[in-house]
Amino acid sequence: MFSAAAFALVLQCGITAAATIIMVFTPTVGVGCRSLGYVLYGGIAILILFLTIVSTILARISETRISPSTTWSIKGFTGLVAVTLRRFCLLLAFVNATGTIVLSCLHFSRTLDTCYCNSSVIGNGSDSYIIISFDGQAMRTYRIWATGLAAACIGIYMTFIWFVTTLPKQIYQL
Amino acid sequence: MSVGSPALAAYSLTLTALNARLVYRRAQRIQHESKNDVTRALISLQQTPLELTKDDRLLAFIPINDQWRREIVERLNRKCAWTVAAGTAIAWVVVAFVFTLIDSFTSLHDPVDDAPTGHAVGTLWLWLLCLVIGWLWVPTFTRGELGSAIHHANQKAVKKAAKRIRLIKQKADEAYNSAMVKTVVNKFPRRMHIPRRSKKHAVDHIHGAGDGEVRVKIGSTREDTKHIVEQTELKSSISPSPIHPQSTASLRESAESQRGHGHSVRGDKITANSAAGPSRSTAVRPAVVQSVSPEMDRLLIPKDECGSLNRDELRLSATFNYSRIMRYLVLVDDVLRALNRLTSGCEVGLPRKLLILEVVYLIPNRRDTSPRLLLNPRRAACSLRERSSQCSARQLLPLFSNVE
Repeated sequence: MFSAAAFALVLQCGITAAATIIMVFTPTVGVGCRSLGYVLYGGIAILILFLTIVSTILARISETRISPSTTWSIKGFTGLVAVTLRRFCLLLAFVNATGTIVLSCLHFSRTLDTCYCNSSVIGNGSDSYIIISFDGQAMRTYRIWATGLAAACIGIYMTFIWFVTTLPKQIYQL
Repeated sequence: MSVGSPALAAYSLTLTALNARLVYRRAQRIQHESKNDVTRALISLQQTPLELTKDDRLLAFIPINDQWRREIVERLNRKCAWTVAAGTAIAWVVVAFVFTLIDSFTSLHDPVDDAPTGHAVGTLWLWLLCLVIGWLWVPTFTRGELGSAIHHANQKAVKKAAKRIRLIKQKADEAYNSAMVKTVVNKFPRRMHIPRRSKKHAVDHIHGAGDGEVRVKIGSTREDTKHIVEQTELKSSISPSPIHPQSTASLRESAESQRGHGHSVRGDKITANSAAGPSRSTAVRPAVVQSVSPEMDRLLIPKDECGSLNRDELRLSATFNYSRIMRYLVLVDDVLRALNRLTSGCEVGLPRKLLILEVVYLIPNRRDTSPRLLLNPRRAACSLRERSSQCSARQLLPLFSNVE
């Protein structure tokens, strides 16, 4: 169970980090609207994962307890918390999914192509700047670096695929 | 939900794979002829809510069960879900992504280019590819496949069972006409017509009990094996009737079930059925089953009889595997340990040919309409002949109402 959670974390971090790194290290360097959006997305997703695992464990505890005579008990309390967490996670997942889709749409419609977003004001604060003209060489190094890191992250979750596929071969021959 | 948190979907996927590995490894240590079937079923039915049950309303009671099981296992036994179409689609996605990456290196000189944005979004959605490949690889069932497999097997089974039931009913009718009608006619006015459908009312009237359950036993007497004797008794006055001890084919059939085939009369009847459970087991079941049943109870008492809190468990979707993990592990533990105990000789009184997980049956619950799979290990202990003798119309009723 915990190794499964670990692999899920690797996958989520992989995709979020890849997207974020590409955005952050593209000039202007810094955390902008878009990369912040990615970080939020990944963070909420991981939060959902953890809360759901906690909810599952609590639900199990509640289910296996014998129903008590008193009103205030471990069974009732854990059950309440588990149900609340589950519903909260569902809500959070809905919000997160909507947010992601909206974010992607904003990207492609260039709504985020504004001065505020392009100069990464969120990360750089008063030091933020916007690029009007630059030479291609610097741009090239930045991009190669970013793409390389992203590819590394992709590699991480390719190993995830590998892990999934390393089932015993005999399973298919039963 | 999985768009909201890919991590959760990945978690479910990895759990499924790990479970498959766990089940396989644990089942390797067991020497039992039904080991492969059990492993196969446990692995590929992961995304459905599974329960161990001792319910009587299951197909194992019916002699065609072997064929039914073979049908299901055959459907389950698909090697891998990789098709040409799926492979081509995935290959297209990979090729497109690689081209986009290459394009980002070649179009560097355009300062207004928004290419990295596209990459970022592309990588953000790449988990979809990952999960799709993973789910294709893990040998589980999709919801539709499972439904169609069970539906198909059910239909085949029902055809045979219907034939058999018709035969049994015919015998019962013959017996009724030969033995019972005389007494009925004696008590009623001579010209009163008793339609076949209202036998129950007639019989109830005789015994003066409105909800009395009428038992019909068909057996062979000592003198004449072809002579069919019928014997009715009220449910309230149940006593094991040692009148025909040599009866080879004892059959019980409720008069209620003669009336309603298509009606949804299941729920109340079955509670009544289970209320009369222990007495019935002593009265009707053959001796072999009597000796086996308590042992089986001891061997396979499902530890998981507590109620379900997480409603997600009952959903028939692979994404919700995470909420089933605890229950699933307990179930695997139960089943495999039972198999192990059977083979290692701890349980002496049990027949070795016991087929655990013989039964997979969809039962929509009355409270929530989501179907779940129940695995019934107990009935399989009876041999084929015993099972055929126990086949009753009542046990077939849920079958009929389910298929339609």
